[in-house]
Amino acid sequence: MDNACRSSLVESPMGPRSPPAAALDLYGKRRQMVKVQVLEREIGLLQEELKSVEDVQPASICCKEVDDFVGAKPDPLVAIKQESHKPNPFWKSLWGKFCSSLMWICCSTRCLHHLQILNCCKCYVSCHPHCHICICSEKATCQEWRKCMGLSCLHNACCCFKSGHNCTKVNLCSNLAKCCSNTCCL
Amino acid sequence: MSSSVSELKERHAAAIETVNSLRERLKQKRQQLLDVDVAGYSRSQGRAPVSFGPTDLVCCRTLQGHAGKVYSLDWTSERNRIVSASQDGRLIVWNALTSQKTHAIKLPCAWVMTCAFSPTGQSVACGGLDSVCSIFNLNSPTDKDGNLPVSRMLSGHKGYVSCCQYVPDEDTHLITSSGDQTCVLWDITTGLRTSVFGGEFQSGHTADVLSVSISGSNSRMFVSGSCDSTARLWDTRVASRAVRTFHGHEGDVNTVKFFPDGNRFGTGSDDGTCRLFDIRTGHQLQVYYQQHGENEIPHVTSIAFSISGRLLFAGYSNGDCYVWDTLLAKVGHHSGRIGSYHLPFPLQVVLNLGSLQNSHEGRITCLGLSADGSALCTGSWDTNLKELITVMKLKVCQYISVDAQFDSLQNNAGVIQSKLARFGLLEGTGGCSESLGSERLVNLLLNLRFWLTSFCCFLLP
Repeated sequence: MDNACRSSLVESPMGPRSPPAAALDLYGKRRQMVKVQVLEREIGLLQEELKSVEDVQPASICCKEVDDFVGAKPDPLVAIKQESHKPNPFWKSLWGKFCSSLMWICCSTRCLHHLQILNCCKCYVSCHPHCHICICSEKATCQEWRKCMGLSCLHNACCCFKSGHNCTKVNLCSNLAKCCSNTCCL
Repeated sequence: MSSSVSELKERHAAAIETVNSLRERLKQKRQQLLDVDVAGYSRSQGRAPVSFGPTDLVCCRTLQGHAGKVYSLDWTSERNRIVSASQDGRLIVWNALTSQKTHAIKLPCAWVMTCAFSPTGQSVACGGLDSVCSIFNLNSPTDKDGNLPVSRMLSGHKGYVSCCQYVPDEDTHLITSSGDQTCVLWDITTGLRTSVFGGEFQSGHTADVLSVSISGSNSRMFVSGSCDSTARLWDTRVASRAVRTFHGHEGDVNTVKFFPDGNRFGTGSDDGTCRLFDIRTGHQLQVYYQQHGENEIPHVTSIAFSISGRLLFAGYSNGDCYVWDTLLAKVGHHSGRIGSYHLPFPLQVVLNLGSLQNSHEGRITCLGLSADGSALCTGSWDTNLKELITVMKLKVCQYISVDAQFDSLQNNAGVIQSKLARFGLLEGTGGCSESLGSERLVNLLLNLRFWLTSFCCFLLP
């Protein structure tokens, strides 16, 4: 080994030299030792955890804490739904009935968005007078109107699907004239 | 000497076996303590489901400006500003109300992966493949090229910086996670590392760390998620070992986020699940998973909780963004309706924002809620940030969007523009109304318009 070091010194005194084989082996041994130490430390930590888990409370207590916390904290996103489920004031109900009675007039002409929306509700049994979401485009040639739950027509969409068909995919309809016969479009 | 190495190898193999055996025993003990999950408990208490229609979250605006994939975003703790990072090599600071860009920061390294706003909103931090976390002071004067200079560079990681977050209420400290398997707590004023969590010779993650989240209620605690399929809880005062390691995921843990109460945290993983863990007991309290028919399970790339924790927003690699009811996620029981479609939705996925119009085209890489919990912003590989505004803002926007739709049927772009401008939704003209008063005014104007045209309707033949 010493000869190898000396010969490398003679041959190229200024060039980089490889570390001697013994040093490499020492490096490998050192790394292996460190790996073992890390694992043995991990074993100690796991043993500690096994002991401590004996005294840990069951998950149901944590679940109760989560449930209580969420229930108590106001949330603007969840509050929307709670507010929307509140019964509307009387005048709003009256307004809705008034709109419904005007439907036949306004839908034959260029409807305002409110009444045009209500027209859409004819197609959708689940829509109530206050749905201000669905719009049925006059240009859409939906082949068959079915009951729409929740997400009904958005602005450039038609919602049409054959009875009994379970929509598995939502497609973006880019062309109003195009109407999906057996899929649900947005 | 060679026999010493072989002895060490034997010890190593034996140690691995012991570790695996102990982990298995621990797993079984924990399993016995999992008497119920969150969904089971909440259902037993008669908790009403959240019925969240897709129109309750409408894409209010699209923040356009990046020329490359958006990888990260962060909200300020006040004043509704967003910083986004893109691989076009820029950070952009947006006014979330007006969509205006207040800063466009050219980065020294284009390969950015993360960004964060400081608690005061005066600085932003970013990091990426350059292995450095760069800090920019937004109030600094620009240099002769018009670029904002780097005010501090935090160097020391030996791998990419995957995530960074400022310590709450401190503009002077932040925590980074890295591909070098460590997390680091930095002192920004000196640019030095205060503590290194994990690493080659310490007990920590054994693969790249992808995400960190600092507890809002105890800023000394943070969690990290890693490619070693675990999440770990750390105490910044004890860098030598993690307080606890959370097993359960079967793939890289891409994202971690503390639950609002500070005692739980959520994770999102390549195994397609989100999970809720308890930091004090180590229990896995809930799994959120949507069954997919396709062969490839979409990875969870980012998560965020609503302000109460009731909703969990999860972005996926296929562009979906699910809104989970955190209390009632359970197979065979549903509450929310995903549109009008007879989708088989076995779990409490309240809503798939990806199914909405104006959803992202590509993979959702990041999402975040505003400080008041009323708005969600998502970023994706289609280069745009989409902001969904809710509550008061939503209602105004909803009317506007409906109005615009009606006009779009008449192909009247000019009318749309003027209406948008009137309600302040064009850039530089003000934002969606934030106040209840403004919303009522808008409603009044719309109703007035309706009455006038109704009257005209009667008069028309």
